[in-house]
Amino acid sequence: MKSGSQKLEKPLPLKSSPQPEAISILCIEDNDGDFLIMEGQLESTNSRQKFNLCRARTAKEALTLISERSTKSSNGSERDLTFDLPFDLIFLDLSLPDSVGVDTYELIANEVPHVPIIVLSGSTDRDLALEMVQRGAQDYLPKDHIFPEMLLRSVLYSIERQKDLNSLEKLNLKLEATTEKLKSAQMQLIQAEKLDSLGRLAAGVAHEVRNPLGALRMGISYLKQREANVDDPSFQFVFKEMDTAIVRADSIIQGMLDYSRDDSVSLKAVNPNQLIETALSLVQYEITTHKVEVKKSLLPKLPNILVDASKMEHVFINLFSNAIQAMADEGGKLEITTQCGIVDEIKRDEGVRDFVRIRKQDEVVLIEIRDHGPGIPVDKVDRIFEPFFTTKPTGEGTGLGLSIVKRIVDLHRGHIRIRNCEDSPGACVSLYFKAITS
Amino acid sequence: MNKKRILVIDDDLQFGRLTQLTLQATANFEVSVQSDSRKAIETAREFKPDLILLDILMPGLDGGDIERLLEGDPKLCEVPILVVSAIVSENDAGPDGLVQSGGNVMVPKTIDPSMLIQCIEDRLCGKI
Repeated sequence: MKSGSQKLEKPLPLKSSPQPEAISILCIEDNDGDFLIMEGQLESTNSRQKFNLCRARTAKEALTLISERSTKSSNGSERDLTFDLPFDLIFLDLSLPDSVGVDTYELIANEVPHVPIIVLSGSTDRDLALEMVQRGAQDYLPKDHIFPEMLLRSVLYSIERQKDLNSLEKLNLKLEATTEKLKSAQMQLIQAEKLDSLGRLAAGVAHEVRNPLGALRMGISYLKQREANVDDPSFQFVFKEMDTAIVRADSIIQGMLDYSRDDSVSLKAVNPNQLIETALSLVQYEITTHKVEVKKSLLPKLPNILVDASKMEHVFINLFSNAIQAMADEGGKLEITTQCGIVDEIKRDEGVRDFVRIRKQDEVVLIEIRDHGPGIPVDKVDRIFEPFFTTKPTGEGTGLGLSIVKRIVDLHRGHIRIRNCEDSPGACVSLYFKAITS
Repeated sequence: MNKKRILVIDDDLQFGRLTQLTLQATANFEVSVQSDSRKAIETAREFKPDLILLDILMPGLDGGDIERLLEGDPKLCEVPILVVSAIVSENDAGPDGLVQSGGNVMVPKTIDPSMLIQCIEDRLCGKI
């Protein structure tokens, strides 16, 4: 509901309002005359507002008074969102016997960051007083020009402004805490999705490990049947084959372990071709069962990229699985290319302005994954990175895969785009990462 | 005794080659390996096997496709087939080394090779 011209304003605690609470003020002022003037001005404000005035003559004395009235325990919990307000307001003269100028302000402001401070300035330090306002003081008052009404207004406005600032800070702290929680939830989500896909990969991994295991068993059986003669060429051949079989089985198991590990992002220089090969070996089972032909054009001397290998494998496994599932019915072709170059040389037409983190002249690695499935429905292209959005039938996808892929690519300051191929049906995923140049 | 001719159709060339060596070492078998399933029928026609060891999961044509092609070929439809696959584990197998799975019978790839040889002989004489 809009309330037209009616504006809600906080009423100042003036005559019509009930008796306002007394405002506690700490006046840090070494000059007796100046203090007495201040006290007198406060008393003669034409208002029912009462003041409890405390006085400190030195910075040290002020700090003692502050700590005496502080409610915060010494080991005060950081997350507790009640601010320590030993006084409602502080009047501060910057020239004290034990501290002068900016230092005086910083000393007090650091101690009570949430209490409004009004700087009292002499005729010689107006510029300094103004600087204090820029540093966060609520107001400055020239000592030789203080009038009761002006003093009252300054006090009340300072308190109100500081209240707003304090609530803003509280909101900000809450927001930061929420962001932290969100970040950790997101990491957990990535891990959950990973374990989910790991479950789907498990049968494939078992198959891929049993193949070399079968080969090993054959090899052992062969060696047992024959008289051991290490010079026999067929023995050498069998030993070599058995050795490769062990390496094969080990690498597939290692790939799965790396993939399932829950380490927060640990960046290392990695060759993208290697990542692609590992990810392919983990989805080999799906490739074979769906009769997909894999066509790789991997640039031999591709520069490394700085990524978390396990998380990037997740990205590739997810994208490969998507491509394979998109071609579920008929044996399709999965094309994977890697290349590298300067951003605008790679694709002039791709709107380099979209790139948030990669600059125009950066050398990048481009990885393209192309399938020959039906492609993405045109009205859905813009939504594919949304969490829980899925084009797959119910029960066949969490709808989180691509949103997590995007999240991981973003974490690595890379760029991902998915579009339909122009020349033939199918979808094309392009991944850009900054190359490590030596 | 005539050596029995065994054709191994398996995309895992390493397994194929070691199986070939192991079976031939018994002196009872003559073994040929074809790792490209699309050339399997052609190779079978040339090699004229007494038995085919057939993998299931292969790129291009899989074990099921090959089985259908063999059944449809007048010269090959009588050749006994023994399915060998890494889909199943030795733990799934019965005492005869065979895994019964959804009406299909198969031998796990990780089986003890002497057991595989027993299965081949049983299949050759029609016991299984």
